[in-house]
Amino acid sequence: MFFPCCRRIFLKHSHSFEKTVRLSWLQTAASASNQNPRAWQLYSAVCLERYPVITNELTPLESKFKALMQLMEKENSLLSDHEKRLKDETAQAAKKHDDDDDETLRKTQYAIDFEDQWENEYNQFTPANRITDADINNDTRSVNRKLDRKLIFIIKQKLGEKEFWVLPQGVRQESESMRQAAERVLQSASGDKLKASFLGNAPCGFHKYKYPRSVSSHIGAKVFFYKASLKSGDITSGADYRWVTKEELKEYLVPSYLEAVEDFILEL
Amino acid sequence: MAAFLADVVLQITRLSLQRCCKMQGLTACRSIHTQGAPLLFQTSNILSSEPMKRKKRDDPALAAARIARKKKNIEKLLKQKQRLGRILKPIEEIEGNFKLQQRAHELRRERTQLTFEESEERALLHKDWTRHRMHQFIDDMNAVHQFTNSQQKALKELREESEELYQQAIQIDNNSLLYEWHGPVSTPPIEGYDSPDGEYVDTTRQY
Repeated sequence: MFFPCCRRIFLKHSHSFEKTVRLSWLQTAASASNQNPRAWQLYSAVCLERYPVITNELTPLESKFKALMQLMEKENSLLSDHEKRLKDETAQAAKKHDDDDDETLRKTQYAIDFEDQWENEYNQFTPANRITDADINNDTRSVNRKLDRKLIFIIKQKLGEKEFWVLPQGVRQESESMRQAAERVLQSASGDKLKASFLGNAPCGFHKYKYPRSVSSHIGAKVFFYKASLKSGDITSGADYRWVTKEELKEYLVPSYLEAVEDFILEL
Repeated sequence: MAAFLADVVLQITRLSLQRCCKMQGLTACRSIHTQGAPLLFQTSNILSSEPMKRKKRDDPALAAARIARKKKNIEKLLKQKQRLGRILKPIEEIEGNFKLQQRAHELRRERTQLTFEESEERALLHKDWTRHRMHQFIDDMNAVHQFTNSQQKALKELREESEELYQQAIQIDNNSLLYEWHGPVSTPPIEGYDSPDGEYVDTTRQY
């Protein structure tokens, strides 16, 4: 009595189950032809650089060679007018001293007086310090740190569930070129007070990563990097950011990402 | 009687003669005038200058001598030009200062006599430097290769995604062709520093 009833119910259900499965399969096939779920999502990213403001410290070899070149330059040169005058005057002074002449023919200004004057003028000027406050406080958010190195702008961005340190990136919108997308991304990451110049229309680097399986719309992201150099201005957006050197990137970036990025950040 | 008087008046006032003639008919006019030729106003140009002088004939020998002299002068000039060539604007950097050249002997420094060790040290330093620069050059070249490879890879991937985006990416960016950047310098710039301008006299000669 129980059995046939149960069987009937099962059959009824299995029929409906089969129907729904077929339906959902059809639906996905239809959406595939429209949206193409197997496509990659295109991202533009910006590698914003602050170029070195001051020269590098010379290595021991460089400073040694520099001294030698200056010495050789001096050895091969002729006396300048000032040096000649100084030489003549010292010779004259020595002669005068020997003769013990009275100082009737004393000139108002000697070459050596000029030298004192110049030295005074030079000592009055104090050049700015090569080590800035940002270096002392180790302020990685300041653009004025490590003036003799190239600095790179990185930002904390949410990719999927987690937050990562990356070069600022964003999805390309419809009817936008990759370069235009990069410009928009930089503006949104830095605020509108920062001025930067982009170098070329072509991307300089590439990186791709896959989304987890739960994301059904796309396979993953293809990131195209653009280079820009900082001209002026500050970062006014509320984002968490850092200005770091190429070596310091290791502490922040994911290894696979770092590998892609390191290729196009040159330190020449 | 009246007709006769009118004729006399006509004879006196010659300026109105022609008009009168027209009035009275040419035959009447001719019968009165006393001159041989018919009296009409002159229409040809009046010559109001003295007649042209007769051209003096040159001595052919003298003329030939003059032409020869002229020719000789030109030839002389040509020869001079050829000898000197084109006279060019002097370049100070090449010619140097004449006054300085004249007193160069008194501006010479005392020659430094290098010991064997010193010259050896210098040579070794030069070799070290050359080696250092070579390594630097190789590193630079590697970095540039790495960069271009990275860019080529990016472009290839972009082309696979979309031909249109690729075409946009390979266009020349005219704004970055004007790109300029100053630095680096030995000490950082001081904010708001007004550097004093030196005084100078422009001694450039105008040609």
